[in-house]
Amino acid sequence: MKNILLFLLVACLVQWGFAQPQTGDLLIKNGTVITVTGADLPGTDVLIQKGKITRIAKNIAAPTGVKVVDATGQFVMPGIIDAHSHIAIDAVNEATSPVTAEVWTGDVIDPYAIEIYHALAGGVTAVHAMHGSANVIGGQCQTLKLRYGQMDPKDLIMEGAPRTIKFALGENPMRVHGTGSGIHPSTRMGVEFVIREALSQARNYATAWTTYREKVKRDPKAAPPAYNERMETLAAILKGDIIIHCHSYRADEILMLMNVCKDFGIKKLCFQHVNEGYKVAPELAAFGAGASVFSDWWAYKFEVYYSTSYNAAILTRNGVVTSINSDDAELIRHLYHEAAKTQRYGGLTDNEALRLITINPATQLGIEKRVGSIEVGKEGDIAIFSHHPLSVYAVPQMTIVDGVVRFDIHTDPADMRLEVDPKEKITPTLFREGDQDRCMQDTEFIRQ
Amino acid sequence: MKQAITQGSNFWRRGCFGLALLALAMQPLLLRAQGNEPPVTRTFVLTGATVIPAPGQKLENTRVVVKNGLITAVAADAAIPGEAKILAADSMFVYAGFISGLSWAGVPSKDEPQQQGRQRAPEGVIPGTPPDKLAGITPAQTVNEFLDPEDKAIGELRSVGFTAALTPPRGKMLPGQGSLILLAGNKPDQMPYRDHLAVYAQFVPAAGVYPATPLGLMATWKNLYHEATSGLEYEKRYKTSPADMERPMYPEKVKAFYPVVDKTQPVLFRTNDDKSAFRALALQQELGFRLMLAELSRGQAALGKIKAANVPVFLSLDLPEKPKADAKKPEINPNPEIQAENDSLLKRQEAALKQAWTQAADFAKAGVPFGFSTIELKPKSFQDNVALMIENGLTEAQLLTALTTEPARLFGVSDVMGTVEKGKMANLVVMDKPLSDPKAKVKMVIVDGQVFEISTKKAGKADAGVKVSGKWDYTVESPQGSNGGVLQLKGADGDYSGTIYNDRMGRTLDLSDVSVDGKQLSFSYEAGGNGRSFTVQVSATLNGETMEGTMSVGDFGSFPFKATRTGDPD
Repeated sequence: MKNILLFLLVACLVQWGFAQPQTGDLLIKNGTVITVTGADLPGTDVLIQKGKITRIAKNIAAPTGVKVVDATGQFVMPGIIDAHSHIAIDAVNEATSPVTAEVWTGDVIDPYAIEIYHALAGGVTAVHAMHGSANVIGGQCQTLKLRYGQMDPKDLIMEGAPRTIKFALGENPMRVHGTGSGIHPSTRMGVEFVIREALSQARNYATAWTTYREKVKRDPKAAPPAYNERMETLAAILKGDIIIHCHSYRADEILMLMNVCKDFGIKKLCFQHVNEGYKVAPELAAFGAGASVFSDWWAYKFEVYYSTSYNAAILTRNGVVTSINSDDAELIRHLYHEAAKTQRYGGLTDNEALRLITINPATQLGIEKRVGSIEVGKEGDIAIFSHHPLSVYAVPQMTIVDGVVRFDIHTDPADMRLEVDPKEKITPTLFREGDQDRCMQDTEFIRQ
Repeated sequence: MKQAITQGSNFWRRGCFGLALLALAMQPLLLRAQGNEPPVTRTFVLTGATVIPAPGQKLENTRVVVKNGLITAVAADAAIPGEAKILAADSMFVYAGFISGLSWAGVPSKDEPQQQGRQRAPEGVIPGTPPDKLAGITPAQTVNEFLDPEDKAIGELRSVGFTAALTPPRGKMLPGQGSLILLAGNKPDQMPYRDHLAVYAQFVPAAGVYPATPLGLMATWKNLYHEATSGLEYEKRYKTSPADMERPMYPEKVKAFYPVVDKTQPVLFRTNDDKSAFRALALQQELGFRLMLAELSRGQAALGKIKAANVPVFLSLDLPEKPKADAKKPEINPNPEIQAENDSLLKRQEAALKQAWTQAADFAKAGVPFGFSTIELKPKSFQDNVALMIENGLTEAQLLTALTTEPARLFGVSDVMGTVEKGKMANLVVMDKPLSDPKAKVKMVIVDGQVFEISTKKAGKADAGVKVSGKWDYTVESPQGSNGGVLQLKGADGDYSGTIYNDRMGRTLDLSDVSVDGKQLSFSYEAGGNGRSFTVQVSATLNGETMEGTMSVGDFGSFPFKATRTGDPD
């Protein structure tokens, strides 16, 4: 009860404009620190100041005013990063055109989405909020930090994170536009054509503007080309300013897109889903393309009948920067379990498995110098687990973003909604006595 | 002879026909004259009134002289012109006419029932390249083309004291230009006072065509703005010396954005909540246009940013109702854990209600000037909402400022509207008690010197002889087919309540706002599910044991509604 009141008070303060600091100071004492990029450090402290990791050592004395978290017996790892998510946005697909490069998920962030808190409760600190896969060239995506509690949508944006954009191959764009609207693409050939046509137009567009800008310096009568936000975005891909994240399944289409990118001089490329990635792993490694996969999910539609739970392991061992993603508001709550599956299917080491949900997705999003590992100078995005995060007994205890505690299993109130509908009809949770008693029957030993 | 008779009867027939035509033609005129007689004199004097010339001021026992639509004197001893009609206003309170920052009064809605589920592009339209009209991008059109003086919303809004409103066209993301209109007039062209006051924008995507989501909407905004920036720059060069230059050929929608780009015209953005306010502010900060926010509810989270950006704001006058004091207490759940959860959920909901009611006071406390908008206001609840805001910390002076001087200032009409002063347009509200009194009633509204007496017959008085209470079987004809259930109405004389049960939904819901005016019954209720709720409004004419009318369901459209009494309520 006290907690709820405190939470309300804090919520009110935030709402009235006295915003919480976006960065914080924190000293995490005596945990097993899983740095990911270096060795594990038992019994070690991590000091975060103004949102940045400033010291990693044993027995750090807490500077005055810095809150101390005791992590004795617990595991301190970098906050989990999900390279493929659709949480915290109000719209996913602008499915009305095969190319909608101009739209941007950063425009439609929903800071109130409770999924953000659910993700925090699974140790996640950053997500790649992606456009959907309805269009061949969908919208630009945005990397978000899960600063749940901030009401201004802009405050969730990971400022300075590179621009990214969603491409999609195969059945989704074929179905939406070919079958749905009777326009191209209705085949995989059409998908390739749409990309080549769009990029060619963008090249011409960029040339037209460059020519105009030069010309108008000498000739005040020069007329500008028509401005076009879609072409501006595509031209930025050609310039290397935007990382392509492409929805894909089949090996042939994966090879196709790499060929298209080579033809247009595009180097920043990461494939999403990539269920047949294991067939073309050496080619992906040679290109330098990333792969962000599900741990063990496929056969949910025709084009994705072929896959294997060994996909992540095979890609990893072939030198492809690989991550495991959720693409889902529920799965995002246990990405550490998803990563652990690669130890059963492919025998990855602890470090290799944890890289799949930390430094590797960070690399795919171009933020690996800032997050994804515990190193001095990096941002204070941390997840604390009761057991080793790859253990089935692991339960996230606390999740910290920029040194601010955004999830605490022990002190957070039950109702963590930021927004309440004043007109909503309240329906009580309907439990029968037996529901609760039975489901935990004979499990007392777990709680001891 | 025979021929003559024929001719004669022909003549007669023609004559009769002509008369009938004439009578038909006269009918609307006659009808209108009955309700709204042309004034004998355009000079009148309000006498003996307490005049509130401006927020925080007060003149007792004062005369207000109005001549030809203008206030010519405000003084205790003002001379009464010989031709003046005396309007005794002893013990009454006179305020400047209220101004709404955003309203659709005068722009009747065309009831286009919207389909549920995924919207599809109309036949023959490629969804990615729809015509601008279908996409909802028509910033060049002005509301003046759509004004209808017969729209009953004008009278409804006026009856609670509003005399002018910023009114834009209806539509989707960029419906067009709003004008400040007077809430009176017999012809559409008499209504607009100032044209092209703002480009109206809202977060309403198109249906089934681009932009179909907020994603496409935001991108369209940026594209249009940058196109206009580039176009305006070229057109300026072209104007200076067009020789040797390609003729600029920018689309109408782009040209309509030139005044937005060069900041001569603001954008009035309907932002219903703090999230959409943040979104509009983000656009404004990225692009740099002049912004006004309207219809904001529970916008406290955005208050700091609104203040920092110095953006004018109109708060929504539509407030959630106060739960009835005599509402039956919810049952206590025998499981204390569930009861505790229930209590805490209720507590948070109460806080959310409170947040809605205190919005105006919070903005006032933070020193952010604001007006009010009325797009979602049910005029009937205006006085209740005023009372709620006063109860929650707003002062009468702050309230009046938001209703009069602040909107006048924001729309650049302070020299003619917003106060009761010599030289201003005669837009006045006469009330029997001070505005902040929950029991105050509007007795008279004067718009541009035209007097409207407001009959404040208490709902319920007129329904003597009309039996409302009972158990009714009802049916609704919707595009999904016919459905129905049981409607129960209880109570009498302006204090009705009831429930509605729908066979298809299998749920009983409480009615709110049950009111009876003569034979006219209306009520509403909240329906929905899966976290989405919408308001259902029913209005029907009672006819003994049956009633007939319409049910409008959220944004889905209006459908025929019929009911038959089957007995007394349970």
